[in-house]
Amino acid sequence: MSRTRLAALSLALLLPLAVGCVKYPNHWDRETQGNDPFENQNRAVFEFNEDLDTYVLDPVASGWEFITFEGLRESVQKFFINLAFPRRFFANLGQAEGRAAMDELGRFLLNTTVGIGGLFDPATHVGIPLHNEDFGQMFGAWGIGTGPFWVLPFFGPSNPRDAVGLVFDLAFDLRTIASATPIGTLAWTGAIQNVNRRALVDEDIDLARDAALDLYVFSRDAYGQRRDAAIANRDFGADLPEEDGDSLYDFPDE
Amino acid sequence: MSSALRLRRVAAGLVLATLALPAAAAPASEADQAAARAAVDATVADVLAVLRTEGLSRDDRIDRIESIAYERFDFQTISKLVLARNWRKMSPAQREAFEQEFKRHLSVTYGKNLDRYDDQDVEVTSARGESNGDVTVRSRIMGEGDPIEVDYRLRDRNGGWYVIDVIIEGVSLLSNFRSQTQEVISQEGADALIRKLREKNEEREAETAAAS
Repeated sequence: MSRTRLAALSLALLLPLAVGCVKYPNHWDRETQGNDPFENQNRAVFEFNEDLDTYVLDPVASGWEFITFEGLRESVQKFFINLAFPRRFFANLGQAEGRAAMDELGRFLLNTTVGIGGLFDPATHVGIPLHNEDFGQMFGAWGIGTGPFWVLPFFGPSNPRDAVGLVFDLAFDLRTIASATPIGTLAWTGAIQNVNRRALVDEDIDLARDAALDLYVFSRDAYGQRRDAAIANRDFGADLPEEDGDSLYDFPDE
Repeated sequence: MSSALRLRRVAAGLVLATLALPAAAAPASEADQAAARAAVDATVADVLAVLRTEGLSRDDRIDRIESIAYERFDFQTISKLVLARNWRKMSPAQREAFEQEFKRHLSVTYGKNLDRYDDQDVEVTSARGESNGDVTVRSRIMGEGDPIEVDYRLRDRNGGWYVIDVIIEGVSLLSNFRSQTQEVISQEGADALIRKLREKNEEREAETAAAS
């Protein structure tokens, strides 16, 4: 597994504030918010990931941005999304979302052929939507708890449940399935994928860094909320559970 | 004060409290939902009109959007909900300072990003009454890629509907800022939080001034 891939993935995960950004795979559940017994270690790993971004990923991605045009970067992104089709297919099936799994199958067939190996996304244009499920979400839908918040080196914000999900996600990627040397293949293709993705989310990362008072807590909370919403596939921002006796929206007047 | 009079006052207070409580906790009615939705509709239309006006200077654009947002957001309630239990421990001066710096923080951070507007459209899709009387209005930002879901939570104040939270793709900004402020206050105290915000704002404003 390439370091850049992991670092870029971690960064993409902490950016829910994106305006105009494509939806990227994301990982979590609200339980984790008040569940961070390893905060000191997590913060150290978080800093490491940040440094990796600042000194390696961001400079390389800027170079990539300079020599490519946006349409190409978007096609590269779509190409890798298409390769992750088995993950979405099985994670949907695992949640008894048969219709969504069939959509994914249809998308894969259409985008791989008409969409020239997944570089384009004609499926969306003909009205077959993406159902971006992963195994962490599937475990969450099964009622499996997240466990404590956990910042992975290279991968970023996670938790034990989603980390296990991530292993399944990578196992159910066509790069793994079709390759005799999956680790090596994931490494070099992952490098390209994540440099490309970093270039696409550059402005979003700047916004997150500007907006955050404490980037670590910002990421922890955002990751939690995002995963929670992704698992519930909810239509609305539902009332949040009570925390420390104060619910989010009710404040007793003095 | 005689004890009989005091008793009457207490009794009157209780009656008033029982009258007021159910009203405050009642779920938002259909009319409330329509009113909140209309408020979001109007605000969205105003903002899009400014974004689409050709030939405005960057500063003008930011000023106009800012004044639209300031009218529609209830920053006092937002600050209170962000600070939550810390609110009670803070002095009135600290609360006031936090509210000012927080407002400024949102303004400089998001104002800086207005340049990213690229002819996206906003579709207000539905409204839902919450159990505490708030209304959540859903919208969708339609751009080139996948639409982005943005929910606004509004609260009635003196007959007007004001935004108290923005929920982007399931991420509540209120919750996010609450987590962050709680962390900073518990580690370093409320004054440090206000100082941090002020420094960040001054830094951003200097950058923006240098860029324009």
